[in-house]
Order: sequence, then structure tokens, then C-alpha cells
Amino acid sequence: MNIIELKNVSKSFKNEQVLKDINLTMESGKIYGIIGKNGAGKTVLFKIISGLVRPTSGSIVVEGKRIGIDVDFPESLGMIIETPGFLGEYNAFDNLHYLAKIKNIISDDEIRKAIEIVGLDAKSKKKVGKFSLGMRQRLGIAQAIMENPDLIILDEPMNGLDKNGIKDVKRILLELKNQGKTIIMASHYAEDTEICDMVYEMDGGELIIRDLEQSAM
Amino acid sequence: MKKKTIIFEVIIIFLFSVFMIIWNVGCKNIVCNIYGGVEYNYGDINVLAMGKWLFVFAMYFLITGYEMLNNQRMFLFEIYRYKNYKTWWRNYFFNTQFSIFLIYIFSALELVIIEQRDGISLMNDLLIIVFFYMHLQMYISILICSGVLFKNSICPGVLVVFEGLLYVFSVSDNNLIGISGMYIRLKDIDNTVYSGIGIGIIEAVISIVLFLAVKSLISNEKCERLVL
Repeated sequence: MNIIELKNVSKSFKNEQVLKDINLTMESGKIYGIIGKNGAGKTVLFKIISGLVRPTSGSIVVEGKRIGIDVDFPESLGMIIETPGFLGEYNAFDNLHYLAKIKNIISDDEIRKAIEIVGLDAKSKKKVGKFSLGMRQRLGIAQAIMENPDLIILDEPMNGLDKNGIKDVKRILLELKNQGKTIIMASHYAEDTEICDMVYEMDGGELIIRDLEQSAM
Repeated sequence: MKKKTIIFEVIIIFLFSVFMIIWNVGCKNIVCNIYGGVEYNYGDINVLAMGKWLFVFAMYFLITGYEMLNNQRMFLFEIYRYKNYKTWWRNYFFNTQFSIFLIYIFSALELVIIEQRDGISLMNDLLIIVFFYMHLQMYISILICSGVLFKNSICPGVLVVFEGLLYVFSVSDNNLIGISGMYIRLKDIDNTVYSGIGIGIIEAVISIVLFLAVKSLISNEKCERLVL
């Protein structure tokens, strides 16, 4: 079943075209990787799929609903875009609790479970302001998965992580895939996408399918 | 609402109140001196009193700005959890207004309570803080709306200048728009309560209109600048 369909999506800022006629279909229960340099258009593509940015032309359908027409945001979404900006004076649990109150569909125990899954201590009183970039990244992933969404968008989830951290994140993503979740992740590096079922490369706002064997190299 | 942020802001307001008490040492009615407005000065501008009046507004604008900045830090994590942009806007607007209201009430009532020891009329003090708040909440609405709609948030400074101009235009006569929020000047008019409440209701209506206007305008196109 297709979870995401992008048809002829383009985006321009003033005179600069950052996405050029993107056509993309993604099936549920798979991991998709998008690699590309800084400024290739990965983050803008993610923001368009999640309803945060409106395309200049084209249409986006997520789980059968047109983004910006039927719904403003995909209904079952978890995402981390750019460097996670949490409230520095709060600990990990309080930050996630604050976000979880918006939808109010999960319990405190489920929040703690999400924190533990990413390898952080849910009972720790350490303020997020004192977290390393890697710890913030882990917490960002925890906030993305805590409400058990069907679609998970991760913009450079391996950013700031050490070898063990990257290994942990890959394991978590594979577990989520086995639960039927669809994951789209972006990275600068091809080696981060070895767990992906399909890898695309973005360059100058254009999207091309990349050979999986080529990606693994 | 972020509990720790509120505690931090209450501490700031407490320190601000202590500063204002010290600044107003020797005056009969501190609440009136801080929140009551600028007294009629026979057609002349009272620069010091005007500065004090604008300083109080600037303080609350600063706290509102801090609140808005905190909200922006979490924006990318928060926004997609709402059903749509309109729901986010409603929560954002009312949460910010409510949190400023709480801070205001804490800071003003603290002074009212202190003053009761000196036998100052409680009713007068309450009217002063109600009239001031009605004026303040309109400015807070303008700040919140401009923060979402416009890229360069020069609004707090513009509002302080605007409030200063309102005073300047009402130096020689008690026109209701110029003296809105100023109990000292409103009491010079017959039926103070009716005049004050009347202008307060107009300001509340302005807030409601602003809220509804932004609600109808808000979309991912308008919010795009918050995420880029």
C-alpha cells in the first residue's frame, strides 16, 4: 500500500528553485533513504511532506489525504527535522511530557519507554541544556517515535552520534520497520542508508533512484 | 504552559516590583504610581512619569517576547502534533495570553497586598489593575499576532513608541483613546468605571478581532517563515 505520493512537486524561494518536479511513491513498512549534500533540498522535501511548507506546484498525498487540502499535517506522523531544539531547562522526560500533552494519547510510562528505547535514562534529572548533541539527537528520535506513528521522518538522525549510537539507531529503525512503520531518513553519507529498502539521491533539487549496491559502497 | 518558565518569569517580575517599590519610595500609592498612568500636568508633558509608564509596558513586552521565543524553540516538534494550524494558533494565542495574565496578576496583586497595610482603598487599587490589564492585553495580542505574521519583530519597540504618542496626544485633554489604561486620568472623567470599562471592552474587541483575523489567515504559507 502506498503511504506517500508526490506528484510533480516543485518549490521555489524567490528566484531559486530548490525542488524540481519531484515524483515519488513510498510504500508502507519500508525504510527509505535520501542522501545528498547540504542545500540539495532534502530538508525542504521533508517539510513539504509533513505540511510545514507549501509546494509552489504539485500535490502531496499521505495515507490517502491531500496535504494542505484535506489535512494540514499527516495524521500519524513523527519527525525530527534539523537540530533538535528542546527546552534546555527541562529534563528529557519533562520535554517529552510537554509535547505528549498536545495529543494526549500516550501515558507517562509510554514516554519513559520511548526514552529508554533510544538509550537515555528516563529517570535522569539532567537538564537537556547539558546534553551532548548525540543525546539530543537520541531524545529527538524518542519524541518522533513515542506516539507510535505510522510515518516517521528523520532528517539526519545519525548526526552527532558515535559508532555505537549509529548502531543503536539503525537497530531501532529496523525494529520499527518490522512493526510496519514507514521511515524516511536523510543523510549526507551513503553508509548510513545500508538499512534502507530504497535509496534516493538529491542533487540540485532533483531526485534520482540510487542503486542499493552503489549506496552500500 | 511551561511551569518552570512561569516560575522564572515570576521571579523576574518580583525583582521588577522590588525595583519599582524602591523607585516609588515615599509616594502614597505605589500601585497607582506604577499602573495608574500619567497624571494631568496642565497641558505639559511629564517626561519622567511618561518614562515610568512606558517602562512598565516594556517590561511586560519583554516577558511576552521571552515566552514567544521559548515557543519558537519547540515549534518544529509541536506544530505537527496539532490537528491543524488553526488549533495550534488557538492554543498558542490563549496560552501566551494566559501566561502573561498570570504574571501580571502575581506582580500587581503583590503590590496591592503590600499597600493594604497603609489603608489605601482596595477598590481603587483593583480598578487600577483591571484598567491597566485591559490596555495591556490588547498590546499582548498585537505582539502575538505580529510574531506569527511578520518576519521582523520590531513590534515591541513600535508599541512602546505608540503608547508614548498616545500619551502625548492626550496631554492637553482627556480623550478616551489617549488615556486608556490610565486610571488617574480616567477618574477625572465622570463615571470613571463606565469610561474605563467602555474603553476596556473596545480593547478586548480589538484583541478578539486580531485573533480571528489571524485564525482566518493562518496556513502553512503564513507559518513557513517559522520553519525555514
